[in-house]
Parts: sequence; C-alpha cells; structure tokens
Amino acid sequence: MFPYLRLARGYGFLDLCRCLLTAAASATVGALLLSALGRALSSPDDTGAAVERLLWCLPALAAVGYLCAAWARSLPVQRPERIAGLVAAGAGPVRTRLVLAGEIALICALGAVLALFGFVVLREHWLELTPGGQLDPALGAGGNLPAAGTVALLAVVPLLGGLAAGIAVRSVDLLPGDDADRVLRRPPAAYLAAVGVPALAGSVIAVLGMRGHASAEAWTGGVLGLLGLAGAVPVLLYLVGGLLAAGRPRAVRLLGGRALQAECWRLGAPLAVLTVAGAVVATLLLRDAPGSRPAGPLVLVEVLLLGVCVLGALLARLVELARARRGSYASLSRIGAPGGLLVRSAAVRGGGAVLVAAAVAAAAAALTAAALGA
Amino acid sequence: MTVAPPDNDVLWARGLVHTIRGTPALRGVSLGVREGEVLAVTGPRGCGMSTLLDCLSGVLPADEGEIWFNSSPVHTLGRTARERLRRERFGHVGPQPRLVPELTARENVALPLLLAGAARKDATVAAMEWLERLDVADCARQRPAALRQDQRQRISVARALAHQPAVVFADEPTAPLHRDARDQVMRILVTASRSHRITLVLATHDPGLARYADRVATMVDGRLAAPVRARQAAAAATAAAEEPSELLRRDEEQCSPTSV
Repeated sequence: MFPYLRLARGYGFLDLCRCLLTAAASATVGALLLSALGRALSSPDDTGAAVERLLWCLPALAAVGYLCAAWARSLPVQRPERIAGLVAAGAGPVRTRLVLAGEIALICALGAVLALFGFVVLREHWLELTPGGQLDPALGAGGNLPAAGTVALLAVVPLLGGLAAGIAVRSVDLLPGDDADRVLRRPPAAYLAAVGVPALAGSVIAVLGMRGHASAEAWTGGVLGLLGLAGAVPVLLYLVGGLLAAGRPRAVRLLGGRALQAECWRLGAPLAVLTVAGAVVATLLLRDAPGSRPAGPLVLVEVLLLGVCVLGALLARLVELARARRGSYASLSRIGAPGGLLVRSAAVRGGGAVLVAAAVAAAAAALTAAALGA
Repeated sequence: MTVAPPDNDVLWARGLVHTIRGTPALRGVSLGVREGEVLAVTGPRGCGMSTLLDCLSGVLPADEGEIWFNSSPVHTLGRTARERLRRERFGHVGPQPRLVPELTARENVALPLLLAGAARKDATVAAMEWLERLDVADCARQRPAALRQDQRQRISVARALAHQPAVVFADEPTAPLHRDARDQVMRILVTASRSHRITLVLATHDPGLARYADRVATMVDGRLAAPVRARQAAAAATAAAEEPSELLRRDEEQCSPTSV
C-alpha cells in the first residue's frame, strides 16, 4: 500500500475530483443508512417501516458501487505509468487489483466516516440545523447508539465499493499491450436477437396493457422493453458509426464513424444506463408533480445521488476512451493530420452518440409513460 | 545570418541542437541529404537518431540551428505549416506500426491521401496498389488487430509511401520484423525510393541495414561521430572494426543493393 500512496502524490485535478465525488456519494449513502438506523432506534416496534427504509438505501448503494466500478476500470487506462510502476515494484495482477480496490474502498470509508461524524454531531446537538429537535426522530436521539450495528452498517459502503472496484478492473488492462490489438467487434446476431425480441415484445405488451387496463402486464412489458432498449444502445452506436463512415467519406467522417463503431460497447454501456435510467426517473418525477403527494426529500436525495453516480461513471468512461485513443492520435499527428481535423472527428463522434442517446431517452420516456398509463 | 543550402540537397540541416527536458539529445548536427539518395543514420541506442529524424521531419522544433527543405526554411515554419509539410511532402515509418486500430488496412493506407485532399476513390486505388506491392493486398479489408506484426509494419510502410512523398523518414523500420521480412521491407523501401525518386532517411541501430544506403552517417552522443561517408567506405571501416565472419561477409555481398 505504501509505495502506491507514494505514487498517488502525483494526483492531478481529475483524480482529486474523482476522489471527492466518490467520497461525497459514499457519505450520502452513509447518511441514508444512518438515518434508517436512527428511525429504527426511535420506533423499535415498527419493523416493517425499518426494513422498507433499508430497502430504499439499496438503489443508492448500487449507484455508488457502479460509480466505483466505472472509476476502477478506467484507472489502469488513465494512468498506465502508475500500473507500470506497480508492476516494476513487483506487484502482480492480483496485488495490483487489490491496491486499486483498496484505494477506492479507502475513499468510500472516508465518506462513511464523514457521514458518521455529521450524524453524531447532529445527534448530540453540538450543532442545531433545525430548531426544536425536528430531526430527532431521524437521528434516534435519546437512546444509546449501538456501536456494533453502526459500524457494520457503515462498513457496507467501503466493502461494496472495494468489491465492485476489484471485480471491475480488467486483467487485459494490467498487462502490457498494443493499441493495434484493440478489436472492433460488431454486435453478433445472437445479441441482436436477445436484445430485439424482449424489446419488441415488451413494448407491444406495454402498449396493449395500456389499452386493456392490465396494470401488472403493462408494468412487466415496460420493464422488458426498457431492458431491451438499454441493450440496443451499443447496436445503435455501431449502426450510426457505420452510417457516418458509409458512402465516400473524407478523413473526418471516416475517423469519426469508425471510432464510434469501435467504441460502441465501451461507450454504449454507461450511455444506456444514463439515458434509460434518466428517462424513467424523469418521467416518474414529472408524473408525480401534479399529483397529491410531492416527492419527499428521501426520493430527491436518492435521485440526485443516482444522477451524479451515473454521470460520473459516464465521465470516467469518456476519460478512459480519450486516453485509449492517445496512441493512434499521436501517430496521426506524426503523419501530419491537422489538430482541427482530430477535433472535428471527435465532434462527429460525439454528435452521433448524442443523437443515439436522445433517441433512446425519448423512446424510454414514451415506454415508461405507456406502462404507467395503464 | 542565414546561408542558403547547396542546390542538390533536398534536406539540409546546420548546427541542430535539441534538448528533451534538460537532457541534450542533439548537440550541433549538420547534415545534407541529396535528392533521391538513401541516407542511413546509425549509432548506438540513445545517440539521438530518432530525435534527429523528428527534427528533420518537423515533428519537434529544434532549439537551435537551421533546417532547409528544397531550399526553403523549415525551422521558421509554424506548427500548421509543418503539419502540412509532413502531410504532403514527408512520409514516416516508425519502429512500431502505429496504425489506427479501427480502420481497415486499406483505409489506413488511404488516410494520408485523404488528409492531403485526394478523392476517396483515387485514395483507395493508390492504397491497393501499394498494398499489393508490399504483399499484403489480401489483408486490405482486415483491421490491424487481426494481422501479424510484420503485416502491420508492411501496411505502415505502404502508408508512408502511398502519397508519393519527397522524403520518407524511416526510424528503425525493421525493428518488429524477422530477418526475412526485414530484408523484403528494406528492399521495397529502397526500390520505391529509386523508382519514384523518393529520398529515404533511415535511422537504424543495425549495422547490417547500412548496406542498403548510399551514404552512412554515424552518430554518437548527439553528434555526428565522423563525416558522412559513402557506403563502401563506411562498410570498410565497420569491417575493420568488427572483423565479421566469412559467412556474414558473403551474405552481405549477396544482398548488395545492386541486386535489388
């Protein structure tokens, strides 16, 4: 660990932002978990409500795990010199993976400790956020805080973050490799069938369910359709990339289109999560707004956390892709490709990706609305 | 005061000095490259050959000194003008193929032509011609990931030659190749230089490759160790210094550039 921490002194601005984001997300999840504990302490008899509150923490935990996994996966590509240093210091793939996971778990633990600190400060009334102890039921004030329970609950955050990070690091990225070995994989027919059939079937069920007022079926169909839609994002990226490079393209369109095709899997996954989750949550929130019950602070915090984590994961992937592209861009500028051309081809690529994202988000929103309309 | 270079030199450098983050790489190199010749720059690893090629081709701006290409100054050009020069008049082969991984072999070779503004069809036709000449026409539709390293390097050589540059800078072009492929690639580079009047500046650590050159420049510690000599004189000096075996000498005679 120590040699790695010494390497970590070379942290740049982006790395610090990443640390802060992860720590803040973990602190938020920690706060949600602690408030669930506080409520349970305030009313020990209401087991059902306590379990429900804990269940509400699950999406937030999943979001933090996703963020940790995305960052961990992008780390070896972003900082190859750091991995090379670890390897030179004698760390094998397992130890390198452990070190990366340990770093992220440490940041998560820092966030959880911050949450605990805030919890204790509010609980002991060292600082009053709201007058008259309005927060007391959420803090479980009055009773003793069970030390073992609190620590066990908070330990979930770094454990989950570290585990997700350790699993997400790809072994390929820990070995020395060549840019040219990157394969351009077209979506196979089996994948198209696996994605297309549930998407079509689900959408049909959702729309039929809306007409026939069969709520459960519409809901199932909607979920199936959304899953299919998310799975279709890489396929769409590949198709749009192919269209961009079709015909008689000049260098800009050729480079942009082919790059989009090459990145369809790596860019498609976080983009699918962002667009589908974003569209579904936005539709749910907008439908709730004119209704009787406005969304509570818990829901808002959760939505905010989800958004930040999913956006952070997409950013991590974008940074990873940009770094992976460095080698071939360097060779292009050596043969005299103007800098503006590379920027324009990146813009073409980005435009294609935004187009796909917008189309998928619109479809997801429409499908959610159809499923809910039943 | 600037002195115009000799007329028969396509590329001419005087007093080149370049420092890479405090480490001196070039310490006053003066060199003239004649049109259509094959000039080999040799020397031990770290002697500054690659930096010399980068400076000559305008990738790195020299800290001091002058570079003239076809009697016009390169050292005074801005970044964009140097990019244009590299794109239109120079070709480059590196020690690694460094192809764009998502483009097929044919698209990779056509890229310099497309960058120089050629129509897609002409670029593709020219790319296919060069791929055929380098024995990799059957790989035209494949991507680098599916190809062997020597095939990739041949494609990279085709990319350097496809737009018919005036000068090709080959920095260790045979580094990733085995001996048989090495000889073939070198022969193609030299033949192309002879038939299309392309000047070839070759940097190599391998003294055996110098036999393909018309003249040899030897570098040590960022300086030219001796005046640039014709190949025979350089070979004689190398032979005297290293006393190669009878077998090697025979091999050298068989592969002399006259048979290429």
